[in-house]
Amino acid sequence: MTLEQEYRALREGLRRIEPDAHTFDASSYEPAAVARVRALWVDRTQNEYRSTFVFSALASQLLVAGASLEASAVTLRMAQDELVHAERCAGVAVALGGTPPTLPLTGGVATIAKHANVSREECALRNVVYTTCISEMTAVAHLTLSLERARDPFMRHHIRALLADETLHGRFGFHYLESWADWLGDRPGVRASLTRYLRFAFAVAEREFSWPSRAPGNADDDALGYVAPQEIVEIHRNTMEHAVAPALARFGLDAEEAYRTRTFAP
Amino acid sequence: MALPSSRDLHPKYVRFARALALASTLALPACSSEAPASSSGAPAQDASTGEKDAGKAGDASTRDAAVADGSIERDAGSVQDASTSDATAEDSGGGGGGVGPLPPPDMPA
Repeated sequence: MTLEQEYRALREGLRRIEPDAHTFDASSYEPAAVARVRALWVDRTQNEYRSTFVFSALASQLLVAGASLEASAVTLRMAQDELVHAERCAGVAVALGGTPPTLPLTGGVATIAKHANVSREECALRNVVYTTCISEMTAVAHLTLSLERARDPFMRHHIRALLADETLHGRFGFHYLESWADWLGDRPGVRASLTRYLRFAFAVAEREFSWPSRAPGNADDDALGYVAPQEIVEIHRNTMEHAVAPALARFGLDAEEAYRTRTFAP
Repeated sequence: MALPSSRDLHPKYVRFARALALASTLALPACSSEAPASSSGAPAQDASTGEKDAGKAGDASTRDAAVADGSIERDAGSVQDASTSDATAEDSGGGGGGVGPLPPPDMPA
């Protein structure tokens, strides 16, 4: 047994999409479009690797909060997904002509909020909602639009592979809220506190998803699944307003009002 | 002060996300009233298809991706902007590619 063998077995167990034999043919596209998409996948490699910190820390908070074994295990699974994604994204970047990114990446450690003034249960709920319902549901919408545009079979396969996992990550928070529905139902004060946090969280997330404008993509960019950075905030707003806030409202959180009145003020 | 609101109420990625989010919650809503025809004129049944699939028991992630894939395949190119660009390779990069979870922030007291 080697660690590499164990990792390969683990990766195989996590896989949701069958392997695909397509290779990338750069000659079909203008070099500038390939370069734009390559830069995006290099950025994605770093982002996915860093995301492992987030889900790993979240898993610890769930354990502290007394979450179910299943919830904690699935959170650890999501952390592992992010490492596999980093490897996949690095592979795509190389196929697009990039220099092989070196994993593990150094620096850029991500820490998550501790919410010292609330209970451990609410701390976990706040962070689950932010990371999955808000952040990962935006990723689901982002990748869905990317897949809608992509025509290149190699790119479509890898976008689908990420999307298949992100659908779990995005839904996780709603399932988690459901598992705590009785607990929340008995605690109007916690629901009100979570709603206050949502106003802040929506504002922070909107800022985080607001990227500087770049030139919009052309037909070749579309074929490669490119989504311009400035499009992401609109994807995020659409998803929060019409998908996430209405779903959160079903748990007694005034999420739609929280979204309308989102603010950095506590 | 009025905060920005979404311009496009029901692009397909939102309908898919909404189907996933609502199917995960305690009670499924009616979906017939919230999914208008797409910009290409295609019937809005894609969203309800997605909602039914996403709401089935079991691990539906692979199927969910296929639903998103299939439903948008039928409406290919409807939302894309095929305009050309002068952008160069140097115009690329600088973020925007991330699809991982953001670190949750602490709210100031």
